[in-house]
Amino acid sequence: MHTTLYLTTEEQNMFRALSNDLQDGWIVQDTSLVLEDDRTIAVRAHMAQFDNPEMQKAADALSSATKAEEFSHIASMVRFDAFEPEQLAELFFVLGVKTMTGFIGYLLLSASKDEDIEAVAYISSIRTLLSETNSEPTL
Amino acid sequence: MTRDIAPDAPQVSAAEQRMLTDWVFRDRESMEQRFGMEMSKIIALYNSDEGKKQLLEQMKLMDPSLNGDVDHAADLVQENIEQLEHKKSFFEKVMHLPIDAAHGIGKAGEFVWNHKLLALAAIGVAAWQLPNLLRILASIEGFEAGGALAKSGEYLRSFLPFAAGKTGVVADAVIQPLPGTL
Repeated sequence: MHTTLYLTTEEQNMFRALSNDLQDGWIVQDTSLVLEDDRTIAVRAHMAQFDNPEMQKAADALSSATKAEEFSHIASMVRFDAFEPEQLAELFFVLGVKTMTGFIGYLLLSASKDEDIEAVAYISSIRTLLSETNSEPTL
Repeated sequence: MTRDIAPDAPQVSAAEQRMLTDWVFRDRESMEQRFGMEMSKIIALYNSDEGKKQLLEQMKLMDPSLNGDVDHAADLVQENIEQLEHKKSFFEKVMHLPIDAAHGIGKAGEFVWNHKLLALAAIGVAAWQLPNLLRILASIEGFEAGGALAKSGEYLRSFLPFAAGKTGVVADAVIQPLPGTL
Protein backbone atom coordinates (compact mmCIF):
# COMPACT_ATOMS: atom_id res chain seq x y z
CA MET A 1 0.00 0.00 0.00
CA HIS A 2 1.22 3.49 -0.85
CA THR A 3 1.78 5.59 2.27
CA THR A 4 3.20 8.70 0.61
CA LEU A 5 1.05 11.64 -0.39
CA TYR A 6 2.56 13.92 -3.05
CA LEU A 7 0.88 17.22 -2.27
CA THR A 8 1.19 20.88 -3.23
CA THR A 9 1.42 23.48 -0.47
CA GLU A 10 -2.29 24.22 -0.81
CA GLU A 11 -3.16 20.53 -0.57
CA GLN A 12 -0.91 20.11 2.45
CA ASN A 13 -2.99 22.80 4.17
CA MET A 14 -6.14 20.85 3.31
CA PHE A 15 -4.58 17.66 4.68
CA ARG A 16 -3.52 19.34 7.94
CA ALA A 17 -7.09 20.52 8.44
CA LEU A 18 -8.25 16.90 8.67
CA SER A 19 -8.69 15.11 11.98
CA ASN A 20 -5.58 13.61 13.61
CA ASP A 21 -6.97 10.13 12.99
CA LEU A 22 -7.12 10.74 9.26
CA GLN A 23 -3.64 12.31 9.18
CA ASP A 24 -2.03 9.50 11.12
CA GLY A 25 0.33 7.14 9.27
CA TRP A 26 0.84 9.11 6.06
CA ILE A 27 4.06 10.63 4.77
CA VAL A 28 3.60 13.95 3.01
CA GLN A 29 6.03 14.82 0.27
CA ASP A 30 6.03 18.33 -1.18
CA THR A 31 5.42 18.51 -4.91
CA SER A 32 5.11 21.16 -7.58
CA LEU A 33 3.07 20.53 -10.69
CA VAL A 34 3.15 21.22 -14.41
CA LEU A 35 -0.51 21.59 -15.37
CA GLU A 36 -1.94 21.33 -18.87
CA ASP A 37 -3.97 24.10 -20.49
CA ASP A 38 -7.51 23.43 -21.68
CA ARG A 39 -6.52 22.97 -25.30
CA THR A 40 -4.06 20.23 -24.36
CA ILE A 41 -6.79 18.36 -22.51
CA ALA A 42 -9.06 18.81 -25.56
CA VAL A 43 -6.39 17.33 -27.83
CA ARG A 44 -5.80 14.40 -25.46
CA ALA A 45 -9.53 13.67 -25.26
CA HIS A 46 -9.73 13.53 -29.06
CA MET A 47 -6.69 11.22 -29.17
CA ALA A 48 -8.22 8.80 -26.67
CA GLN A 49 -9.15 5.28 -27.70
CA PHE A 50 -11.64 3.82 -25.25
CA ASP A 51 -12.79 0.65 -26.91
CA ASN A 52 -15.34 -0.31 -24.29
CA PRO A 53 -18.98 0.34 -25.27
CA GLU A 54 -19.78 1.41 -21.68
CA MET A 55 -17.93 4.67 -22.17
CA GLN A 56 -19.89 5.53 -25.31
CA LYS A 57 -23.20 4.68 -23.63
CA ALA A 58 -22.28 6.85 -20.63
CA ALA A 59 -21.23 9.69 -22.93
CA ASP A 60 -24.57 9.48 -24.74
CA ALA A 61 -26.43 9.45 -21.42
CA LEU A 62 -24.44 12.46 -20.19
CA SER A 63 -25.04 14.40 -23.38
CA SER A 64 -28.80 13.94 -23.07
CA ALA A 65 -29.10 14.27 -19.28
CA THR A 66 -31.66 16.82 -18.18
CA LYS A 67 -31.83 16.24 -14.43
CA ALA A 68 -29.06 16.54 -11.88
CA GLU A 69 -30.32 13.36 -10.22
CA GLU A 70 -29.22 11.36 -13.27
CA PHE A 71 -25.57 11.83 -12.37
CA SER A 72 -25.30 8.85 -10.03
CA HIS A 73 -26.72 6.47 -12.63
CA ILE A 74 -24.41 7.83 -15.36
CA ALA A 75 -21.39 7.66 -13.04
CA SER A 76 -22.12 3.97 -12.43
CA MET A 77 -22.20 3.10 -16.12
CA VAL A 78 -18.42 2.76 -16.59
CA ARG A 79 -16.67 0.15 -14.43
CA PHE A 80 -13.38 1.97 -13.87
CA ASP A 81 -12.57 -0.64 -11.23
CA ALA A 82 -12.49 -3.28 -13.98
CA PHE A 83 -10.32 -1.28 -16.41
CA GLU A 84 -7.05 -2.82 -17.57
CA PRO A 85 -3.89 -0.86 -16.59
CA GLU A 86 -3.51 0.39 -20.18
CA GLN A 87 -7.08 1.74 -20.16
CA LEU A 88 -6.47 3.47 -16.83
CA ALA A 89 -3.24 4.99 -18.14
CA GLU A 90 -5.25 6.31 -21.09
CA LEU A 91 -7.89 7.69 -18.74
CA PHE A 92 -5.44 9.48 -16.42
CA PHE A 93 -3.49 10.84 -19.39
CA VAL A 94 -6.66 12.42 -20.77
CA LEU A 95 -7.73 13.76 -17.37
CA GLY A 96 -4.33 15.32 -16.96
CA VAL A 97 -2.59 16.75 -13.95
CA LYS A 98 -5.23 19.45 -13.88
CA THR A 99 -8.30 17.22 -13.45
CA MET A 100 -6.41 14.90 -11.08
CA THR A 101 -5.64 17.96 -8.96
CA GLY A 102 -9.38 18.62 -8.81
CA PHE A 103 -9.88 14.97 -7.73
CA ILE A 104 -7.29 15.27 -4.96
CA GLY A 105 -8.77 18.52 -3.65
CA TYR A 106 -12.23 16.97 -3.73
CA LEU A 107 -11.03 13.94 -1.76
CA LEU A 108 -9.16 16.02 0.82
CA LEU A 109 -12.06 18.40 1.32
CA SER A 110 -14.59 15.61 1.77
CA ALA A 111 -12.42 12.95 3.44
CA SER A 112 -14.19 11.02 6.16
CA LYS A 113 -12.32 7.71 6.22
CA ASP A 114 -8.82 6.33 5.69
CA GLU A 115 -9.72 5.00 2.24
CA ASP A 116 -10.22 8.59 1.04
CA ILE A 117 -6.61 9.40 1.97
CA GLU A 118 -5.47 6.14 0.40
CA ALA A 119 -7.14 7.31 -2.82
CA VAL A 120 -5.17 10.57 -2.56
CA ALA A 121 -1.96 8.54 -2.21
CA TYR A 122 -2.58 6.52 -5.37
CA ILE A 123 -3.89 9.37 -7.50
CA SER A 124 -1.16 11.80 -6.39
CA SER A 125 1.45 9.18 -7.28
CA ILE A 126 0.10 8.88 -10.84
CA ARG A 127 -0.22 12.68 -11.03
CA THR A 128 3.49 13.00 -10.24
CA LEU A 129 4.39 10.72 -13.16
CA LEU A 130 2.22 12.75 -15.52
CA SER A 131 3.54 16.08 -14.23
CA GLU A 132 7.08 14.86 -14.94
CA THR A 133 5.94 13.90 -18.43
CA ASN A 134 4.36 17.33 -18.99
CA SER A 135 7.69 18.99 -18.29
CA GLU A 136 9.56 16.98 -20.93
CA PRO A 137 10.49 18.87 -24.11
CA THR A 138 9.11 17.51 -27.36
CA LEU A 139 9.36 19.28 -30.75
CA MET B 1 -37.51 16.84 -5.75
CA THR B 2 -35.88 17.16 -9.12
CA ARG B 3 -33.97 20.07 -10.55
CA ASP B 4 -33.70 20.97 -14.20
CA ILE B 5 -30.19 21.59 -15.38
CA ALA B 6 -29.90 25.26 -16.19
CA PRO B 7 -28.99 26.14 -19.78
CA ASP B 8 -25.45 27.35 -20.25
CA ALA B 9 -23.27 28.60 -23.06
CA PRO B 10 -21.22 25.90 -24.78
CA GLN B 11 -17.58 25.93 -23.67
CA VAL B 12 -16.22 24.90 -27.06
CA SER B 13 -17.44 26.67 -30.21
CA ALA B 14 -18.73 24.66 -33.16
CA ALA B 15 -15.76 25.83 -35.26
CA GLU B 16 -13.28 24.76 -32.59
CA GLN B 17 -15.03 21.40 -32.22
CA ARG B 18 -14.82 20.80 -35.97
CA MET B 19 -11.12 21.63 -35.87
CA LEU B 20 -10.55 19.14 -33.03
CA THR B 21 -12.48 16.42 -34.84
CA ASP B 22 -10.74 16.96 -38.19
CA TRP B 23 -7.17 17.74 -37.12
CA VAL B 24 -6.43 15.67 -34.03
CA PHE B 25 -5.15 12.18 -34.79
CA ARG B 26 -5.39 9.24 -32.41
CA ASP B 27 -1.97 7.87 -33.16
CA ARG B 28 1.17 8.35 -35.18
CA GLU B 29 -0.03 5.99 -37.92
CA SER B 30 -3.27 7.84 -38.65
CA MET B 31 -1.40 11.17 -38.77
CA GLU B 32 1.23 9.76 -41.14
CA GLN B 33 -1.49 8.28 -43.33
CA ARG B 34 -3.34 11.61 -43.59
CA PHE B 35 -0.20 13.64 -44.36
CA GLY B 36 1.37 10.99 -46.56
CA MET B 37 4.70 11.20 -44.76
CA GLU B 38 6.38 9.95 -41.62
CA MET B 39 5.94 11.94 -38.42
CA SER B 40 9.66 12.68 -38.27
CA LYS B 41 9.27 14.46 -41.62
CA ILE B 42 6.28 16.47 -40.32
CA ILE B 43 8.31 17.50 -37.26
CA ALA B 44 11.23 18.49 -39.49
CA LEU B 45 8.90 20.70 -41.54
CA TYR B 46 7.67 22.43 -38.37
CA ASN B 47 11.23 23.29 -37.42
CA SER B 48 11.94 25.65 -40.34
CA ASP B 49 10.02 28.63 -41.70
CA GLU B 50 10.16 27.27 -45.23
CA GLY B 51 9.08 23.82 -44.07
CA LYS B 52 6.16 25.19 -42.10
CA LYS B 53 5.04 27.20 -45.12
CA GLN B 54 5.12 23.99 -47.18
CA LEU B 55 3.10 22.18 -44.50
CA LEU B 56 0.46 24.91 -44.42
CA GLU B 57 0.12 24.75 -48.21
CA GLN B 58 -0.33 20.99 -48.01
CA MET B 59 -2.99 21.31 -45.30
CA LYS B 60 -4.90 23.81 -47.44
CA LEU B 61 -4.85 21.31 -50.30
CA MET B 62 -6.00 18.55 -47.94
CA ASP B 63 -8.91 20.66 -46.69
CA PRO B 64 -9.77 23.71 -48.82
CA SER B 65 -12.47 24.71 -46.30
CA LEU B 66 -9.73 25.65 -43.80
CA ASN B 67 -9.31 29.06 -45.46
CA GLY B 68 -8.07 31.46 -42.79
CA ASP B 69 -7.97 28.76 -40.13
CA VAL B 70 -4.96 26.92 -41.50
CA ASP B 71 -2.56 28.44 -38.93
CA HIS B 72 -4.90 27.33 -36.16
CA ALA B 73 -5.09 23.81 -37.61
CA ALA B 74 -1.29 23.70 -37.88
CA ASP B 75 -0.97 24.73 -34.22
CA LEU B 76 -3.39 21.96 -33.30
CA VAL B 77 -1.40 19.36 -35.25
CA GLN B 78 1.77 20.55 -33.52
CA GLU B 79 0.09 20.15 -30.13
CA ASN B 80 -1.14 16.72 -31.27
CA ILE B 81 2.42 15.64 -32.08
CA GLU B 82 3.63 16.85 -28.67
CA GLN B 83 0.87 14.97 -26.90
CA LEU B 84 1.54 11.77 -28.85
CA GLU B 85 5.11 11.97 -27.56
CA HIS B 86 3.96 12.72 -24.03
CA LYS B 87 1.47 9.87 -24.12
CA LYS B 88 4.18 7.43 -25.17
CA SER B 89 6.44 8.66 -22.38
CA PHE B 90 3.69 8.49 -19.74
CA PHE B 91 2.66 4.96 -20.77
CA GLU B 92 6.27 3.82 -20.56
CA LYS B 93 6.53 5.23 -17.04
CA VAL B 94 3.28 3.61 -15.90
CA MET B 95 3.87 0.25 -17.56
CA HIS B 96 7.43 -0.06 -16.27
CA LEU B 97 6.59 0.61 -12.64
CA PRO B 98 7.61 -2.08 -10.15
CA ILE B 99 4.85 -4.62 -9.51
CA ASP B 100 3.64 -2.97 -6.29
CA ALA B 101 3.54 0.45 -7.88
CA ALA B 102 1.82 -0.87 -11.01
CA HIS B 103 -0.89 -2.23 -8.73
CA GLY B 104 -1.48 1.41 -7.78
CA ILE B 105 -3.04 2.42 -11.08
CA GLY B 106 -5.64 -0.31 -10.62
CA LYS B 107 -6.32 0.95 -7.10
CA ALA B 108 -6.69 4.49 -8.46
CA GLY B 109 -9.31 3.19 -10.91
CA GLU B 110 -11.19 1.57 -8.02
CA PHE B 111 -11.19 4.82 -6.07
CA VAL B 112 -12.53 6.77 -9.05
CA TRP B 113 -15.30 4.17 -9.35
CA ASN B 114 -16.06 4.42 -5.62
CA HIS B 115 -16.54 8.21 -5.72
CA LYS B 116 -19.42 8.82 -8.08
CA LEU B 117 -18.66 12.49 -8.64
CA LEU B 118 -15.11 11.60 -9.68
CA ALA B 119 -16.44 8.86 -11.97
CA LEU B 120 -18.86 11.32 -13.56
CA ALA B 121 -16.08 13.89 -14.06
CA ALA B 122 -13.83 11.19 -15.58
CA ILE B 123 -16.54 10.20 -18.05
CA GLY B 124 -17.30 13.83 -18.89
CA VAL B 125 -13.69 14.77 -19.63
CA ALA B 126 -12.63 11.51 -21.31
CA ALA B 127 -15.71 11.38 -23.52
CA TRP B 128 -15.57 15.14 -24.08
CA GLN B 129 -19.03 15.93 -22.75
CA LEU B 130 -18.00 19.07 -20.92
CA PRO B 131 -20.98 21.39 -21.28
CA ASN B 132 -23.41 18.92 -19.73
CA LEU B 133 -20.88 17.77 -17.14
CA LEU B 134 -20.30 21.34 -15.98
CA ARG B 135 -24.04 22.03 -15.93
CA ILE B 136 -24.73 18.90 -13.85
CA LEU B 137 -21.98 19.74 -11.37
CA ALA B 138 -23.23 23.32 -11.03
CA SER B 139 -26.73 22.02 -10.52
CA ILE B 140 -25.60 19.59 -7.79
CA GLU B 141 -23.81 22.45 -6.04
CA GLY B 142 -27.03 24.47 -6.11
CA PHE B 143 -29.04 21.48 -4.89
CA GLU B 144 -26.64 20.83 -2.00
CA ALA B 145 -25.86 24.47 -1.28
CA GLY B 146 -23.58 24.77 1.74
CA GLY B 147 -23.06 21.01 2.08
CA ALA B 148 -19.87 19.02 1.86
CA LEU B 149 -20.69 17.73 -1.59
CA ALA B 150 -21.33 21.22 -2.93
CA LYS B 151 -18.07 22.66 -1.61
CA SER B 152 -15.79 19.85 -2.62
CA GLY B 153 -17.69 19.50 -5.90
CA GLU B 154 -17.18 23.21 -6.61
CA TYR B 155 -13.46 22.76 -6.05
CA LEU B 156 -13.40 19.79 -8.43
CA ARG B 157 -15.39 21.69 -11.07
CA SER B 158 -12.98 24.62 -10.96
CA PHE B 159 -10.22 22.30 -12.25
CA LEU B 160 -12.17 20.92 -15.21
CA PRO B 161 -11.40 22.14 -18.72
CA PHE B 162 -13.31 25.26 -19.74
CA ALA B 163 -14.87 25.70 -16.29
CA ALA B 164 -15.74 29.31 -15.68
CA GLY B 165 -13.94 31.20 -12.94
CA LYS B 166 -10.61 30.83 -11.26
CA THR B 167 -9.10 27.38 -10.77
CA GLY B 168 -9.17 26.29 -7.14
CA VAL B 169 -10.98 29.48 -6.19
CA VAL B 170 -12.89 28.04 -3.25
CA ALA B 171 -9.93 26.37 -1.60
CA ASP B 172 -9.19 29.00 1.04
CA ALA B 173 -12.81 29.16 2.11
CA VAL B 174 -13.26 25.46 2.61
CA ILE B 175 -9.99 24.25 4.13
CA GLN B 176 -11.66 22.52 7.02
CA PRO B 177 -12.97 19.03 7.61
CA LEU B 178 -16.38 18.47 6.11
CA PRO B 179 -18.70 15.67 7.18
CA GLY B 180 -20.07 13.25 4.67
CA THR B 181 -19.18 12.40 1.13
CA LEU B 182 -20.70 10.48 -1.75
